[in-house]
Amino acid sequence: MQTASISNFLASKKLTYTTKGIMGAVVGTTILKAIGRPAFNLMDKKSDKDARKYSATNEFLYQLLCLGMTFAMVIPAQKFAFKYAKNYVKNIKELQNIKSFKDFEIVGKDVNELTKEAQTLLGTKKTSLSDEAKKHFNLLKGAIELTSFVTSIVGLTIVSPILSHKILHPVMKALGMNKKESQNPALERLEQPILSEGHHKVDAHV
Amino acid sequence: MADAYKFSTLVKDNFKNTFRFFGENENSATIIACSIAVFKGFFRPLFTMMDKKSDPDTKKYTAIREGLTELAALPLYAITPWVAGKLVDKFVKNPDVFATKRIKTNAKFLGICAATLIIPAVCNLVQPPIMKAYKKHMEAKKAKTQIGSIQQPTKPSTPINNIAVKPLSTNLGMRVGN
Repeated sequence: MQTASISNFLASKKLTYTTKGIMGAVVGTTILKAIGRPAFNLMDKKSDKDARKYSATNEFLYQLLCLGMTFAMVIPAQKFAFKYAKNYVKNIKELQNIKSFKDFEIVGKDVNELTKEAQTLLGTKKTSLSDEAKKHFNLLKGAIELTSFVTSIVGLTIVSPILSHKILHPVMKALGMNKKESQNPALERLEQPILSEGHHKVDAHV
Repeated sequence: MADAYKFSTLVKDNFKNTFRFFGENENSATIIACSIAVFKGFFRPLFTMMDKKSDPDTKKYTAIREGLTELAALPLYAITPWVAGKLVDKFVKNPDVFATKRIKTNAKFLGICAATLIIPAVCNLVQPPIMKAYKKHMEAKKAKTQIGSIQQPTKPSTPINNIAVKPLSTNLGMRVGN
């Protein structure tokens, strides 16, 4: 009974639509990191309470920044990619009604089992797209996915770390959370137990 | 002209193939997670080493740890969704092919989610011995250089008698106010 409900949940079309794309994967994992990692930091009893609070807040804010970056960069990039890649479906009779990015999203929910909304949009009663239409739709989808892929990588690995350096420090200061300054930071870091610090600096931005 | 035509066709075909790959594959979550780990493994140590405000020892230490973190993350991001996919193949016997495909996609995504939570734990297991060894190596290196500097005192570059006394009226540049 339980296995059936789990498999029903996993077979859900809505969930698949969210998780199958690059954007969904990035957003999903970032949200999980924003919840899970600060929780891990707070649970780490080897470091003192202030350090735990500091690293948890820092981690949470960093993931929030990553999430913001993803939305701010990837969605406009996807729309931009659609504008140029829609030529792939322009001449296909079945897909002629896909004119905006929203239309693409409606049809893209499931090309194998079209939703009612998609059927209405495409003006068809067929339950799935023809093989030829699928082929062309996948080219359009691939162009959008590739754009998401590139912008996600640029956003998460280059832009976010630079922005976090400039934004997070003042925000942490404004929240009244200052990191202890030592006279010899190299020594302080070398003497710190790795276990207690691991979360807040190294594992933070995986 | 013919070469130019061939080149443009080649580029177009390559783009088309890439689009087709991204459009048809069902491992987007795995691909993006692994790629981010690879790029972070390169950029994070690079950014750390470029930071001019930090101490060189700290920079090296942090860069090594960051590199190690991504090195641990990469196989985990690849293995967990693969295992999830295999589990679905083994346990899910759904006659609906499309439903099975969806279950597999979602299970793989959950595998990635699990990896994000496993990575900190794995790092805390793997990194301490490596970083301890690095710390020992650093300390031994420091001790060696300290002994070297005690045994070989540096000679003054100029003989004491030849030290020129600087005049008091040294030019200190333009002064504002008094």
